[in-house]
Order: sequence, then structure tokens, then C-alpha cells
Amino acid sequence: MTLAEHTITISRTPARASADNPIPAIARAIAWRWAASFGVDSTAALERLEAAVTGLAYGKLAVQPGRVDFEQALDEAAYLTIAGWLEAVLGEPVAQSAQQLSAARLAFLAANADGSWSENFLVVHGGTAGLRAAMEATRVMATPPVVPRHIERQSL
Amino acid sequence: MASARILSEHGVAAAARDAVGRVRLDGRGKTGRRLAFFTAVAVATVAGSALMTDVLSGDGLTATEASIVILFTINFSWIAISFMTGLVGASLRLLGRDPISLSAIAQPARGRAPTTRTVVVMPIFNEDTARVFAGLRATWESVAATGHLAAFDFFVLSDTRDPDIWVEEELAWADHCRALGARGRLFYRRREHNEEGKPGNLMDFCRKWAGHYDHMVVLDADSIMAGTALVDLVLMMEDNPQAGLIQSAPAPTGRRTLFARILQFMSRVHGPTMATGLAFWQLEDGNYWGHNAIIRTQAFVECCHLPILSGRPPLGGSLLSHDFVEAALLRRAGWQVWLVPRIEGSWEDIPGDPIAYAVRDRRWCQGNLQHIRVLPGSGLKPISRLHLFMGVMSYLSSPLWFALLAMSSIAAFEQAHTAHAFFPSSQSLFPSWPVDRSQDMVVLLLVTLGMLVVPKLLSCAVLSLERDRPAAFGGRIRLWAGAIAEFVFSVLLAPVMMVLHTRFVATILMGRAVGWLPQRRDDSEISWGDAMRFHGAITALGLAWAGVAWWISPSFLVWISPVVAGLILSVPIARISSSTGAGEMARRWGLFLTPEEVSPPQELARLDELLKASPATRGGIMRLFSDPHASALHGALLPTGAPTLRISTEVTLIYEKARRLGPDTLTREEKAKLLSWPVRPLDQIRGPSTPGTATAPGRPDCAP
Repeated sequence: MTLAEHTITISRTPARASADNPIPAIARAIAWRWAASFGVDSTAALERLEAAVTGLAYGKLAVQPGRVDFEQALDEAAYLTIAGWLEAVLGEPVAQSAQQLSAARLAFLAANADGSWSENFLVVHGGTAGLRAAMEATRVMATPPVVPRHIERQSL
Repeated sequence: MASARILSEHGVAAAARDAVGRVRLDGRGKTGRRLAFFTAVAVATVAGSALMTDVLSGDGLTATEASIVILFTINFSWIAISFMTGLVGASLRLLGRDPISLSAIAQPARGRAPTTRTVVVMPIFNEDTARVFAGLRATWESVAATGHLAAFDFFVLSDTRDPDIWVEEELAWADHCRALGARGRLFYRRREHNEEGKPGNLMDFCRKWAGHYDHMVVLDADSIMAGTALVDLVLMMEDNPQAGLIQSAPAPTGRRTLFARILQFMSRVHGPTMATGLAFWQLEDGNYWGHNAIIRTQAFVECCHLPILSGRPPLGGSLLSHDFVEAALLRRAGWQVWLVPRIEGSWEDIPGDPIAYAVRDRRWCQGNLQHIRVLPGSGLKPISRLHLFMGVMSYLSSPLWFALLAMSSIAAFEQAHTAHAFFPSSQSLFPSWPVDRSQDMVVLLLVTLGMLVVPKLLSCAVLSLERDRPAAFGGRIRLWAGAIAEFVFSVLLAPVMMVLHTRFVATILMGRAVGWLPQRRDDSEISWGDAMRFHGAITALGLAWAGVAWWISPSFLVWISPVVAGLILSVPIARISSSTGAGEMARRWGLFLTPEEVSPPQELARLDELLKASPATRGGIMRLFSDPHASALHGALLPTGAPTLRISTEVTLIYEKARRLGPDTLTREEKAKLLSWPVRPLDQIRGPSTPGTATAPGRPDCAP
């Protein structure tokens, strides 16, 4: 797809997206997938994620025209969107490793077990004041902090 | 007997406890005790050896007979130690004396709160997850009931390699954490690489987290301990700063097969006697049995990173039986190691059938024979060396017995087929009549048998004399009936174990090794086919030996019949004794009852409840494909770090296979590779969602 074709595509509304522009359909599917993995079932949250994902993906396509793996680009966009939001909520990095993101996801799933935070998913300004505390309270603690010791092997 | 002071199992408070309820572990008269004990052992051994020499040398001592005397002496010394230990133990129990202080038995004042931090660690390896966490939770709840839970953390140290069990462990841990409100108190770690097995697992824990704790209590996957027992152990460690390790005497329980019930019964009847006797002469030079013991973390870290033996397995490499060596190293560094038999509320499982028992023994045999290499280690205390020697002899004695019996058969053959020389030299004027020492031989046999049996009889007698205690075993008559039945069973089983141990020792010395294998911990019956496969050769040996004995002399066959009977009957014994039906029948008859069966302690009753309530499975790896909670949990528990290009590539290919053929087609190794990274949900595996795009499993760290 050329940059000109991308520009034409962006001007179309998602409702009129056709088979020659697969991005809206894939974006919706990926947004739904990521939202489900966070236990979020809010329509507004889904639309926020879809819009963010689509915007990021189009932005990437604009700077990297040509044959692009749409699904991978949208997947990465979803990852960046959600990780960025979680970092803002928790005030600490969550994207430095897959384990960090999984831990944050688990904490959100536990805090959102009753669905009370679904509407606030990806809300950037306000609306998440208590979410950080709720996630801290449910964060997994598999092991205590490491107190490293060097231990000498014995000899006979 | 009216003057004898006999205590109930719960003991009374007395002199060994000071004004604030501390219990000092202080063995008075150590030198005198050991002098008396080992002198008695030496006298018994010399007497037995002399009697055997006298019996065999009636017509002069042949080379074969001399070999018999040597083998007999080595094995008899082993029996003498056990006999004297039982004798001392029974005497102390009868008198109601603590084996360490020789005063009346004392428990620490339980109202005291521990002032130290203790972690209960449970190393596991491909175990039954439901059983592991049910036991751990029952222990947790029991500690909570003491009011001292704040002093304890719990830590599951997994070395599991099976991917489905790995996932089950994570899910079970999270469920129990939630149910107990144990976040930040009940921990779980799965080791990425399980070098050096269980000792390596514990050492990994020590390197990272032991600094948080003053003590650690090591439990096996099938262990369970009462909260009161744990608190008692902690208080004893606090009261005795020189103690590096205190070992409780765990009681086997929980199995329903006939084989296991017999072992559980005799362990409950006779185990306390032997533990008491051992504690009497070991004192602070005690041994470690690998679990249900409390260890001072500082001492363990300083002393117990085990050496690697030079050479390859089976006699080189990592030490399989680590516990004896750890105890020896603690003693070498000056830490005390105590066996305290009066700690109640410590339980373990045992194998449910003779084959599983033998499989476990195979590993222990290799581990104990490795101690031959440890025996000459520098700086080890003499009693530590004795423990290691006894561990070696517990298996090496079997080939010695086997050789002794084989030599006896040869000697019987020689005697039966060699004409007696009435005039051994041409100068002798008077005939030399053949000397019949068969009665002396019978006496020697009865003495040997007696030394094996008398301690058990004394244990039964001690229990019978207590007012209320026999009821815990079904009453006095059933107690004695069970003891007699156990004696018959052990006479039949002993020659089978002798042959098996002989085979184990031979294969190990020929260089065939075993590693760490998960122990079978269920009550499943042995089929007749399995019994034949495992014991067929033993049966054939028994039949051949009986035939040869009959050919030598019918009276010799009678003499050796207890040995060949056990060998010939090994197949039906294995099959029948592995049956839970036979075990249940014995239970209905009131045989082999234990206190845990008659009046189950709270902890064991709770364990049963938890096991019944546990799901058969939480879904294993398939659950991760469909449950976001489960997949997030798994991802959160993984070690931090990015995958290598190789791992990324392999995982990508495995996802492609899962997409095309279904995730249920994945092999165990493929599942394990997938689990090394956060797992993608099924709907993402099944992509791509539009035609024309490349197959896009994406970066692993994009997986939601």
C-alpha cells in the first residue's frame, strides 16, 4: 500500500471501511482481544483502545509505507497504549519486561474483578485515583525481596 | 510395675524447664553414656562372634567357615547397635525419662511467643499438587490456631519440570493465597534450572532469601506438621543458641494399603523407642533425616553447601543423600544437632507397596553408598562418621547377609558330602568322633532373632503398661496381635529386601546411577503382572535355593526355610500387601491401628477435608490459553529478562504448530518452551484475522 493510499484510507470512516482497507477490522479485533485479556467489557473502553491503536498504527504506516504486517503493527500499538497507561497509573515502569506487564495485568484483573474499573480503562486524566491503591493491594508477591548471600561450597 | 513411672505421650512439666519455661538441650554424662553403650555393643558383638566361631570350629575352621565368621561379626555388630538402642529406649520410656536430660520429660511453655522469624520451606518436584498444597494449608491453619502465625512464612520451592504440573502449582498457590489471605506470607518460586536436585533447590533459596529468617523448617512434599510442633521447635532453637538443627521424629501416616498400614503401625509402636534410644547416645551429635526438622539458617548457609564428589555418578557427582552429610558438616563447624523424640505432631507419607518402597530404596542406596566417599572427610566428628557408616551399612549389610547365607549353604554342602575322618592322622590311637553343634547353631540363630525381635516386644510391653495408650492401637490384644502379624510379615519381607538391596549395591558398584525421580505417593495397587515382572527372578532364586538346600540336606532346608519362604512368596506378598482392600479388611479386624486412625488429629482431618475439596485438575497449560487470570499469573511469576533469539524462534514455531494442529498436539518439551514466556491466548494463536498478512504470532512480549 502506498502512502497516498494510506491517506485516502485515513479519510474514510470505519463504517465505510471496505475489504481493501483491513485496518479497522483488525484494529477492532485486536482491541477486543487486549481488552478481554484485562477483563474489560466496557464499550467506551473498547472504543478508546481501538481509536488509540488505530491512530498509532496509521502513524507507523505513515513513516514506514510499503508492505507491513498490519496485525503485528496493531498488536504493538495496543501493547504500547496499555503499557503507557499502566505506567501512568502506577507511577512505575511496566514495559521493561513481559513479566512486569503480566504482573500489572494480573493486578488490574484482581482489582477489576467486579468490573468496577472497566469504564476507567485507558482514561488518561482523572478517574483512576483509587485504581493505583487497588492494584497495589492485589499485586502478586510471589517472593520477598532478595537478600543476596554468597555461600562457599564445603570441601571434604 | 506399680513403682514404675510411666508417662502418657503428652509428658509433664519438670526440671529440664527453667523458671521462664525455657527448655535447655543439655545431655549430662555424655562420655559415660557412650562408654557404657558402646561397651555393651562391643561385648554383645564379641560374644556373638565367639559363639559362631565356637559352633563352626568344632571340627576345625575351614576357609569358608572363617569367611562366615567375619561376615557374621560385621552384621552382628550392626544388629547389636540396634538392639542396645532399643533396649535403652524402652527402658527410658518405661521410666518416663527424657533421653537427653534424663529428667522427666518437659515441653516448652507454649504461651511464649517466638521472638524470631522462621520460614517453612517445602521443596517439590513434579508432585501431586493437590496433596502438596492441602498439606501446606493444613499446616498453616494449625500454626494460625496457635496464635503465633506472625512468626512464620511459608515458601514452596518448586523444581517441577512437567509443564502441566508447573501450571497447576501456580494456580493452586494463587488460590490458597487468596483463601488464606496469605499474600506476602505464602511464597512460591519455580527454579529455572534444577541443578543438584533438592540440595541445590534449598541452596538457591538460601542465596536469595534466607537473610530474612532466623530458622527454616524443611518439609517434604508429603509432610505435615502441627502448629504446636513448629512452635515448640522454634522455642527450642531460641532457647539453645548453639543448636544448628533439631530433628523431630515424624510418624508415617495416611496410607491405606496393607503394606503401608503394617509399616505405619510398627513405626508408631516401635519408632518412639528407637528414637528415644538414639537420642540417648547421640545427644548433640544427632543426625538429620531430610525433613520435619528446624535448621538455623545462619548455620546452614555457613556450613551446608555440599561438596561435589569427584568422578561421575553413581559414586561421584552431586550427593543424593544430602541430609546425613549436612548434619556432619554442621557438627564439624561446632553446631549442635539434636534429635528430640518428644515433639508430637510431625507426620510423613511412606510408599504404599513393596515396589514403590524398593524404588525409593534404590535412590537412598546410591545416596548412602556415596557416603563411603564422605567418611574420610577431614574434621568430621566420630559420631558423625558413625552415622555415615550406619547409613552405608543399612544397605551394604544386605550383600553381606546374602554372602553369609551363600557361604552357609556351601558349608552345609561341604559338611554333608565330606566323610568324617575318624583317625585324622596315622599316629592317632583313638577315633575322633564327629561333633554335633546343631543345637548350638539353633541357640545362635535364636539369639540373633531375639535381638531383632526383643526391642519390638519391649515397645509393645511399654505401651501395654500405660493406662490409656493401648486404646490408640485398638486395645492391648489387638496391639499384640498386630505386633505378631508384623513380625511374620517382616520375616517374609526381609529376604526379599536383602536380595533387592544386594542387586542395588551391585548395580551401583558397577556404575549404574539413578537421579532424582518423583516418588510415587498414591495407594494404587500393584497388578499381578507388575508383581511378577519385579519379583519373578526373586521367586526363581527362592525355588532354586530351596531345591539345592533340600538336596544338600533336608535339615538344612528347615534351617534356611525362613529365607527361601520369603523369596518364594514374594509375588503374592507384593500383590496382596499393595491392596487397599486387604488394608481395609485388616482395619475392620482392628489390626495395625495407629493413634492417627483411631483419633485423627485436627491437622490430618483437615488434610482429608482439603483433599476432598481440591479439584482434580485446574486445567494445566490449556487453562492458560483461555483464562486471562491464569495467563497473567504465569507471566507475572516468570523470571525477568528477554528471550534469546533462539527461544523466540522456537516459541514462534511452536505457536505455529499449535495454530495449525491445535494446542493439544504439543509435546511436553514444547509446552515447557511455551511456558518459558507469557502464553498467548487461544484466539490469538488461531490468527491471522485477515487474508494476505503474514502469520503473525508477534513478539512474545506483546502477548496479552
